[in-house]
Amino acid sequence: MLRATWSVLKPGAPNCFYVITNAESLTDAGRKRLAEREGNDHVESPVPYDVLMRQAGFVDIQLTDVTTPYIETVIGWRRAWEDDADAFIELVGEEEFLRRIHNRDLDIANAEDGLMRRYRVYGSKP
Amino acid sequence: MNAYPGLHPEFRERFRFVNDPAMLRAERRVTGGDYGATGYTTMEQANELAGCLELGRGRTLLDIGSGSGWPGIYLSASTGCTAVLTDPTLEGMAVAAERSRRDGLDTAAVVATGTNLPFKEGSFDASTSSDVFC
Repeated sequence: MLRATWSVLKPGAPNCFYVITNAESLTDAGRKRLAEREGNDHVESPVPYDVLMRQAGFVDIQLTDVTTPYIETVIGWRRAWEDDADAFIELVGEEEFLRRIHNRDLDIANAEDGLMRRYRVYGSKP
Repeated sequence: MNAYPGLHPEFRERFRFVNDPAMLRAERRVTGGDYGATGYTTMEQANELAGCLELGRGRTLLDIGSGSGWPGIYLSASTGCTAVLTDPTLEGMAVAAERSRRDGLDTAAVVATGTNLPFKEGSFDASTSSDVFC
């Protein structure tokens, strides 16, 4: 996707985006643990995003770790659903409601355990 | 009703509920928006994107994997830029197109994956995406 994005940008144009990915420092055991857990999807990347950006042709690359606000947002979604549980159960059914709450818990655990990170990634096309 | 039949059904299902009052209540509380988003980009972070991308009138933004239009529609409304939104779901792009029309914005919604962008080389002044999984 980064190469496709690079192609459609004008020279000098910036690309700035958010991504949830595995922590770059993960050991093989950590990767296995993350893969075995459910939770929401994330990008499984063997190399850090600054390397991926460089490989795609971007320059002036900056990675900002926004994992802490990400955890706060996931906690916010969980609370919002729990506080309005009757309405959400009516909307999606009890089984799906409980699955989503469970997945939020896994996302929080994955981030707090250092398995998953959210970054703001910036780079520009030369 | 999906241009990409291999897409996980959950990606399409989520658009059934985007305008439900409970969903909108939760979204306003968590992200500060009311665009049918269920992700993690807050209003504050969307505003940071606007700064990083130097958005403004006369600039064209590509928002990849925009779902129901967050944050691309908001960025268009708040900065005056022209936004082109893409998502692999027709359902998401239909919601986004309706919101853009309602808000009177010059926004295009295009069904496409992030790896096959149907645009000419060098078309955009800036691009963004929020937690796209490819």
